[in-house]
Amino acid sequence: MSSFVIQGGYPLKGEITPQGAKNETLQTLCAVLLTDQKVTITNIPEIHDVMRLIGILSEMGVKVNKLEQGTYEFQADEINIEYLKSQQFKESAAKLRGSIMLLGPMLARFKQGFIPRPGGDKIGRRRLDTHFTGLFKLGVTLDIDDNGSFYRAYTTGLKGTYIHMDEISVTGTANVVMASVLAEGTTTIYNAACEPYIQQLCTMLNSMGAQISGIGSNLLTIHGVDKLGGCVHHTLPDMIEVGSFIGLAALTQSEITIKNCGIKHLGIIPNVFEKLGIILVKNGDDIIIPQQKSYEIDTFMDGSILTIYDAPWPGFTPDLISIVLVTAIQAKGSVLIHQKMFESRLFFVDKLIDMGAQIILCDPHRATVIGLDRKYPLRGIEMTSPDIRAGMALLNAALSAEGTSRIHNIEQIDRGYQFIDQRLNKLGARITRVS
Amino acid sequence: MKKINIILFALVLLVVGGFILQGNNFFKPDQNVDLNIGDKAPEIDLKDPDGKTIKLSSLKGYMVLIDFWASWCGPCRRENPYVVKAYNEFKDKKMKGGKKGFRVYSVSLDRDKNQWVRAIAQDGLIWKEHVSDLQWWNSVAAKTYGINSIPSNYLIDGEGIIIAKNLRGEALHTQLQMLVQ
Repeated sequence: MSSFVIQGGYPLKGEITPQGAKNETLQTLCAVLLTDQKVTITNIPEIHDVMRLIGILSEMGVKVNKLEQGTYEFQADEINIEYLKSQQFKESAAKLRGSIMLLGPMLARFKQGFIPRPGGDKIGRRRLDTHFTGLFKLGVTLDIDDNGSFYRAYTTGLKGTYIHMDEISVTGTANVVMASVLAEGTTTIYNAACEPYIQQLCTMLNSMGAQISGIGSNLLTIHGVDKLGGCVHHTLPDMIEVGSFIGLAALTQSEITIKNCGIKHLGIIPNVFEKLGIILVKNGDDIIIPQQKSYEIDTFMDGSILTIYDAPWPGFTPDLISIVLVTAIQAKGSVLIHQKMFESRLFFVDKLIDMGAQIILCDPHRATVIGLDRKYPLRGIEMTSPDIRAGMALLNAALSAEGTSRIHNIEQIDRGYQFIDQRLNKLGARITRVS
Repeated sequence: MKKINIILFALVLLVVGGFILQGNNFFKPDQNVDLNIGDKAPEIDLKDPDGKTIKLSSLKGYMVLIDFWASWCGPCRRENPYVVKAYNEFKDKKMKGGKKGFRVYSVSLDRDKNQWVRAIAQDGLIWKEHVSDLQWWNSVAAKTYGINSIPSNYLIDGEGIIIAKNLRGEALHTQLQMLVQ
C-alpha cells in the first residue's frame, strides 16, 4: 500500500486540465460491443478501473489499438463468447463494478451475457435489481450458478417495451439503454437516470445510428434499429475533478485556472460552490478561481442555515458532497451537509475533526460544518483514505493544513484521479508518493 | 408627496430585492442539454478554407444538412459517399420546407487545415459550404450543438428548424425523398 506525504499550507497557482470522466468512459467502453465497426474514444482517463475494463474487452476478443495518450480505437468484430464462461473472466469482471454494463450490449448483439456478482466501492449497499428488472422486461431470462457467484443471462430476441425503472440508477439505465437500441420495436424508459454520463452515452449511440430521444430527461424513447456503425467519441471532462479543484483553490487561498471544464455540462455544480461564497470567473470554457482570503456561506432567504444535499441528476452529485464538506471548513458561516443517497460516506469527518475542523456528525447522513474563517489553520495528521471521494477530500484538507500529513491507502485516490500528485505538484503542491 | 415616497420606497425595495434574489451567481445552468426536433438550429458563423465566413443562416430557404465530421474520423469518411450521393440527387429539387433545394453545411472538427482540405478533395465533397475553426472538439460550433460524437448531423428546413437528426447511411436518402415535392 502506498501513501502520500503532504507538506500543507502553501498556496497553489497555475492551470490544471481535468481528465476525462471515468463514469462516462466505463459506459462508452461497453458500448463498443454493440457494433462490428471501429469505434474510437478520445480523452479516456487511463486510471485503474478504466484500464481494467479495457483489459477485459481485449480478453473478450475486442481489438484494442492505442492511438495516442487517452485515445483508443476498438473493434468488436470477433468476440469470443466462450471466454465469457471462463474462470479468468469471472475473476477479472468480479473486481470491477462497471463490468455489469457489459451485459446489456452482449444481450443486444449476441443474445447472451455472463457476469459475476461485482465488487467495487464499499459505499452502502448497491443492488443490481434495477439492471435485471429492466432487462427482464425486454425479454431476458436469468440463471444464477450453483454457488450464487455468477449470472448467466440469455434471450431469444429483445423486444421493446415500457420500463419504469424502480430506482434512478446510472449504470442500470445505461445497461437497459444499450440493450434496447438493437431491440425490436420501441422501448420507453421512465425514471431513467439523466446524468451527463448517460447523455453522453446516448449521443454516442445516436452517432452510431441509434434512435434515442428524450436525452437529458428521465423519459427516454428508443426506437430499435437493426445494426449500429462506428463513430469517434470525445469524453467529457470529469465534473468531479472540476469540483474538487474549485474546492482546493478556495481552501488553500490559491488562484487556479481550470481549463476546458465543459461548463455546459456541469449543471448546478458551480452554483453550489458559489453558495459557499467562492468567486468563480467564467472565461470561455475555463473556470478561474481567484485567490480569496475569505469566503462566506450563503444563508437561505429567511436567514436560516444553508443545507447542501445530494440528489440524482440534475440535482447535486453525491460524489462531490465530501469535497463541499471539506471546503466549508475554512468558510465563514455554517452549513448542514446532508448526504441522502449513501449512508456511510461521512464517517471520514473523524479525521477532519482531528485536524481541527469544527464539525458535528449528526448521524450517518448529516454533518454540520461550522466554518473557521481561517481563524486558525487545520493541522496535518496521519490518516487512511476510505474511498475515492473522501480520499480526494482528505487530500484537499491536507494541502490546506499546516505541517505534514500522511494519507495511506492512496490506491483509493488513484482509482479515480490520474497522476493527481504530479498534476497538483505542478501547481506548487508538495506531495510525495511513498510505498 | 407621501404617496410618491411610498412608491419610490417600493421601487427601491424591488430593485434591491431583485439583486438579492438574483444573488451574485455568475453561473446559470445551461437550459439546452440537447437540441431536439422542432428546435431552431443555433447560428454557426465560421470560416471556409479560404478564410471566408459562411454563416449557416446564409442558406435560408434551403433544406440543409448540418454535417459534423473530421478528416481523422474514419466512420465519418465512410458516411461521406452517402452525403455526396444525396447532394447530387437533391440539390436542385424543390422540397417541402426548402423551396430552393438541398444543401450540405459541413462543419469540420479538424485541427490541421491541410488534412481538412485534402479530405474534402479526396471524398469529393464538391459543395462550397465547408467551415471549421480548426479547434478539434473545442470547436465553438461543436460546443454550441453539444457534439461529442461524430459523425453527427442535423437536417434543418428553410426556416432553420431541426426536422431530423443523425441520418446515417440510406436514412438520409429516404428522409430527403419523403420531402421532395
